[in-house]
Amino acid sequence: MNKVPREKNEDASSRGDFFAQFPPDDRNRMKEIWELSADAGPPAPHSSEQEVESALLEVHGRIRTGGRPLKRAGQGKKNGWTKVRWWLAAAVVLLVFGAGLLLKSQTISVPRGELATVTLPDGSTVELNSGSQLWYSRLFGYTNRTVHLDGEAFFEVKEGGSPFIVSTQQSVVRVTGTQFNIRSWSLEPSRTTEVTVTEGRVRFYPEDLPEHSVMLREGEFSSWSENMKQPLAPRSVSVDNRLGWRKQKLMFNEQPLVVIFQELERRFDVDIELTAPHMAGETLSAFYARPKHVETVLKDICRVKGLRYSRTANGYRVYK
Amino acid sequence: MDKPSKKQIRIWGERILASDRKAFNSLFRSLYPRLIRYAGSYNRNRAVARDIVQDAFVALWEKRDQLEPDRSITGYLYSIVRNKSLNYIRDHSREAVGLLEDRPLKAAEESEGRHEKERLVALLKGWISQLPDRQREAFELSRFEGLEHDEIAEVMEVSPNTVNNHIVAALKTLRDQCDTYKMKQMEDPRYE
Repeated sequence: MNKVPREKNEDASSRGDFFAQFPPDDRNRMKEIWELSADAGPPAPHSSEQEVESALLEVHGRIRTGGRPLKRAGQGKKNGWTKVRWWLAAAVVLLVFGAGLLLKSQTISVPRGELATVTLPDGSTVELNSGSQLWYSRLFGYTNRTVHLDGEAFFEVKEGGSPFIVSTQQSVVRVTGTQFNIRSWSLEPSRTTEVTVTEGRVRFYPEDLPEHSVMLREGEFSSWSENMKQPLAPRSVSVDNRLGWRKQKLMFNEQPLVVIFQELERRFDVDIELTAPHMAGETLSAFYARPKHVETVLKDICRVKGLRYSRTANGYRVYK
Repeated sequence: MDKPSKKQIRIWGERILASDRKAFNSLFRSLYPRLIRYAGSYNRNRAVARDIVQDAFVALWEKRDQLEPDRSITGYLYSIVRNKSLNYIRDHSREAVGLLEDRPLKAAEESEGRHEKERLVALLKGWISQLPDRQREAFELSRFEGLEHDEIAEVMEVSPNTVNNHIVAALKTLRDQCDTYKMKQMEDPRYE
């Protein structure tokens, strides 16, 4: 029931500019007609919950290609859907059962505010940071050992026959028996993939340019973002800082506010709206051992940057 | 169902770009009823409307890596539904589908004895349905579907400026009709 005033408010603010174009003596009359016409529209949308859910199921049934972009799938180039349909038909003929299982990828999504550890079919383990997504084909461990990551994860890879490959946003990490951390959030503006190795060796290269690879050893770090030809030359770093997230530390090293706020959103499962866009690129360094509450961090950031914040329904609004 | 804020839809859009199915589900649940109603304004056959709306969401998911992040997802879905609806009408023109056919042209007839405001609203319905097609479409998308000018521009494949002109023209026409009605009513209260 409190829906009505909220919509009205939204209306008033976003339509303000629209009515400004009318001469002052016309403006109110135009608004009046606008208001009056609210009830002259079609009846409110009505779809029962059941109807919506079954339609959603149908849509998922029609998508069926797994939770990842088609272009990164390695197959399905132009017309993914047709191809999958043929695959499906072939599989049904050959196997009758289980075709769907083979084609569907396994997806692990970690809710915001939580950490998760998963064991892959080959015995390798992956620790995933809040809000991360990891997916792999059902054939993982049989024909390949490739996983896809959007987010941040620490891998402990078991030695095995086929090379273990992590594909992130347009870059690839290829390893044999090793421990390493990858950070690669597709929502971050810089679209960077960062790799830190704690044991063994890791080859790291842009997806399209495998020959431009770098080799990382224990204690080394490298990163790559879209506009770079080659990942940065590996350099030694403090591994503990890079892996702090596993112990719920928060560590920001000259990071833009927009990145820091995204991290806080995931860690504390809140929404943070920055309504001072020119501040988004401001950078900041900060360290917290185990912050209990997001406000502890927010308060400090605001003090340092001369910002203020207030609570909203599901988080905070930060403003100048 | 609460109407999601523009920001919420934008966030869902970003997550869908990052292949987040949960965001896709949330977007689906919140826009599906509206889009079904919109598709229904082109086509009375509910099964057809349902197919068209589902097509739009399947297309959204499968083409998500080609979407521009700044583009409005709402506008994108509306434009697919509109184009598919128009194609359907074109391809099945022998069947009785038709565009908004049963909109009352003279809704005033049924308004006798009702409250003055209700009567005016009923009249407005009729006047809206008599607006030139493009004006009516822009006005309805803005007023009843709650789309922004740039979203409507995308759906109707014109510039936001043109959208604004259509809506302004529509409003002026409606105001003039309202004024005429009121004036005549003052002269003769039985006028309808």
